[in-house]
Amino acid sequence: MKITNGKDFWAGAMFIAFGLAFMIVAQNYAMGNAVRMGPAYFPTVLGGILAVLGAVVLLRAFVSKIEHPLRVFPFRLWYIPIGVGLGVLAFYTQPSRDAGIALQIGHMLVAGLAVGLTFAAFGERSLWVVLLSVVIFGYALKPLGLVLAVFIMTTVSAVPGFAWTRKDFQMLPAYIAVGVLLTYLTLVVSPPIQRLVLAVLGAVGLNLPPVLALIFVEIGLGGVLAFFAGRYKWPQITAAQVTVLSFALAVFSVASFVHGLGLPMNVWPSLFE
Amino acid sequence: MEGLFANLSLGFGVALSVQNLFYCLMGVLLGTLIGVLPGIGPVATIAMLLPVTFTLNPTSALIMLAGIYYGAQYGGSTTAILVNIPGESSSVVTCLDGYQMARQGRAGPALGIAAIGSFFAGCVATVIIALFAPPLAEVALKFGPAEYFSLMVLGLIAATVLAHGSLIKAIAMVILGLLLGLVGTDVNSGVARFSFGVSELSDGIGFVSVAMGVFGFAEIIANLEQKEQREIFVKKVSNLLPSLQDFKDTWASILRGTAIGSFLGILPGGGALLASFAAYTLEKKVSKNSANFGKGAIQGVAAPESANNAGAQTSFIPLLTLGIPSNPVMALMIGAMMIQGIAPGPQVMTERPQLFWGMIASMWVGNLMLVVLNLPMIGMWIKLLMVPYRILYPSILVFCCVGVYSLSNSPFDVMQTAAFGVVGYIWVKLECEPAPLILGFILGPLMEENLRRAMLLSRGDPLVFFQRPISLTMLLIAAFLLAVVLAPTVRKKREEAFVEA
Repeated sequence: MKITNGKDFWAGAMFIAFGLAFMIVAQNYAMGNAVRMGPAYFPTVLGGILAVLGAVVLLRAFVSKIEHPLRVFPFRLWYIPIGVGLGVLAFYTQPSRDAGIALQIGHMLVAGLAVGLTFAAFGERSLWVVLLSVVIFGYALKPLGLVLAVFIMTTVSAVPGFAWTRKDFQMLPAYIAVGVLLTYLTLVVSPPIQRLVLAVLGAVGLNLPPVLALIFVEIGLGGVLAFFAGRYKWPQITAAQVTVLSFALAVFSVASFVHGLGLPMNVWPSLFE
Repeated sequence: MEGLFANLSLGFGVALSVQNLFYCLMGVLLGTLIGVLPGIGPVATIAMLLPVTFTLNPTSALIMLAGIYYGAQYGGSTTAILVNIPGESSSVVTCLDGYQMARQGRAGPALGIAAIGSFFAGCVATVIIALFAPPLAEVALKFGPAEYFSLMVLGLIAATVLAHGSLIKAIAMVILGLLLGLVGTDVNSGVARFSFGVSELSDGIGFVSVAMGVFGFAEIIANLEQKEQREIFVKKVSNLLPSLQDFKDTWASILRGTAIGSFLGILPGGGALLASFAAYTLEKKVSKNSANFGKGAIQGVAAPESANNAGAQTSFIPLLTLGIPSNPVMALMIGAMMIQGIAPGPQVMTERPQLFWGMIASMWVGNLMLVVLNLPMIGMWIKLLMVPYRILYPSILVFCCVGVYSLSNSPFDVMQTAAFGVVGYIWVKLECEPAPLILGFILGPLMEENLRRAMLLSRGDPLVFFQRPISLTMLLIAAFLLAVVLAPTVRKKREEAFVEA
């Protein structure tokens, strides 16, 4: 017997694992009977069906005519124990709320590294870099504020999109300055404009929530970008420009999004207050 | 008939208010935008915008979300024709002939006929919804728990049959979805199931997280692995109006596409994607010179584009009348309704006629807007196409994250979404379709509840599902569908149909 279809093999194994896990965990709850079903009844039945289906898929992997290699992902399994180890460490060393900045940031780094390594075990760079940026964003938003969190996220997540070159790094400070300027424009100059737009709309009889001012600003910005895109031929653009442009676009749109929704998100770092 | 006109006029009254016109415009504009941009689909967009709809009134919110879905069908065709990349999965087949037309210098007529066909299909589909939804809702009002359970079984089976890829994996994904949907507090006993002591999980897994992780993040990651190749063949499109000969060639195709799309849209599991595939295949069969297909036959653009728009709209029928989603977008619409405190189902039409008819009327209005948006403003969309994906995706990511974060202002939802991003990526790699999973996820708690009630009423006799005629019919249809798909000849055909397109 030889496994011909690696994808089916892993899919089957996954379904069996999920099915059994749900069945086993469900045994902690009351089963009830067919007339009065307890909370365990439905999950147990479904988990059983899922495990059986998984077994069929798994067996099919041996007879399938479609051939896929068994290594569907570039597994780097040795990353997992390190990642899990760091994760356990981070879990048990959670600093208290009034701990120092350095401690908090250090803890965040350890936790981020743990998650990153666990993701990285599954392979391609785009997977773990993108998801790592998401995780960082989730944790950094409260202590670092929206602007910095967005900046870190766009920078990290932009990595898989291109190759960093030396020239890009030399240009970086200038672009960061542009980014900061844009942020300032968004957060300080844009709200009055949004209010103006809303007031004008209100005068016409359109009483809309402020979300819409942001959509206007968005579309306007998209238009401007598209215009320049057409004029200056994007494909020749350098990596740093990409980062800053996405950063600017993201900060601009997200800040107006948050303003428009009145979401209680801190825009600037709260760590230093 | 008089009732219909009264209802439609009520609907247009709602849809034509300044406020709702505005949201409709926003919806179709956003829809076209994401339709044009490859790499982001309506599911991720709607999931992203759900927090925004908290602040709106239900009618406006649903009008906007609906606009995104059918707007994406229009936008998708533009990318397909000009760049040979489907902007939307439902415009895959449009690439075949649309791009060839563009190469022959006929991009204008291709875009024009796609928009006109879509508009025609949209109008017809609106009328179909208005005609068919009320009687269907009336039937559905008589449903008991047994009927509802069987209906859900049928809906889920149909969704797997019509999904592409392996049938058994699709069914397994549905069941996995049902199980994931059960996470959280059990309504009857108050036990927090599968929450492992995590307090955030006792409310259940957020469906925005699932949808965004699986359809948003996983897609972005998968897109990044492929080298980007985007060659825009036409920089300037002139002469958008198709010639008289083009109209003569395509009117029958548009009609056929609309018919097949409207029909497939109503079926559970149907929708825009299937409709466009089926319409293209049919058109190729019917055509006298089928050798032309793939080499720039205008019928090969007109039929699938009409079909996907018709299908996108008629797939609202099961949602509005039965409360059963037929595809992931509809599952998100159910979520949006629940957030607004509306229980989806046949009672929506009688209890909230404004919402129901307003939404239907807004679809027609939205289609009109789309023709205006797409034809004269085509230049703007082309410019947008030139922005490369590596610039766009970090912004898309940020938007997704802010949307998820704002659900409960905690990092937990963001982590949860990232986790589903990983799982979604694994599913992509293992060729497990995530669409059936989302349907199961939404229906899980409902299905359990109806099963419990039915069994309670029948005193534990499972035969109740076979004794009630409507319930039996639905189960028989479901069994029949499974049997048909498993039959060797059909199975081969089904695989061919998806491969060919």
